[in-house]
Amino acid sequence: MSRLDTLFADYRARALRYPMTRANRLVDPEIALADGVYLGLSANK
Amino acid sequence: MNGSPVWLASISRRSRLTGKTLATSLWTPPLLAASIALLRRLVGPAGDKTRERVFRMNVTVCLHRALSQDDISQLPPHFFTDPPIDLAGGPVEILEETEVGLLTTRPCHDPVRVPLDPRNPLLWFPGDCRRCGPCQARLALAIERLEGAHAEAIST
Repeated sequence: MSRLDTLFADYRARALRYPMTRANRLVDPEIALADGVYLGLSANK
Repeated sequence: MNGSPVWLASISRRSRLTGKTLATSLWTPPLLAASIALLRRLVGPAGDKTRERVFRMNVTVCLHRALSQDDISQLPPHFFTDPPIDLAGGPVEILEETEVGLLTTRPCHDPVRVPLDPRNPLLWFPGDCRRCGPCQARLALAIERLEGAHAEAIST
């Protein structure tokens, strides 16, 4: 598994541990990749 | 997604020229396709891939994927007992979906353009008009939740 996919797996595990019970219109960027790409992830109700 | 909890993955991008947020309306088709692929890579093997929706706001492109039973079994108990705190508004545009969502997930027909950056007219948040079908559905759901919370508050 690449380092990026390992990072993504860690974020998924964290999202399941700390899911959102609120609607999330603008997801705070949790992952800042190179060249101005920002990713956010949550498990939402 | 039609009652199921979802994975929500979002991506935003900054212009390489200005360093500022690049409005999704300016994303080229290849950039959009690559972004959606990255969202799917972020969610990975989790969830039910047969139940997805891709939609855009003006800052982000987002993916909803229904959680799988395996995902749901890993959620903490409070997720099921805590009421939802608020309701997501409508997207700007639905790009693709494997199942038609509830009316509450549809874009507003005539959104109020709430500016996110006064210097960039392409960056606005879609405020509900409260007149069209989707907005009426969201409003009805919000009222139903408020009434439920009120009933619970006065009974305890």
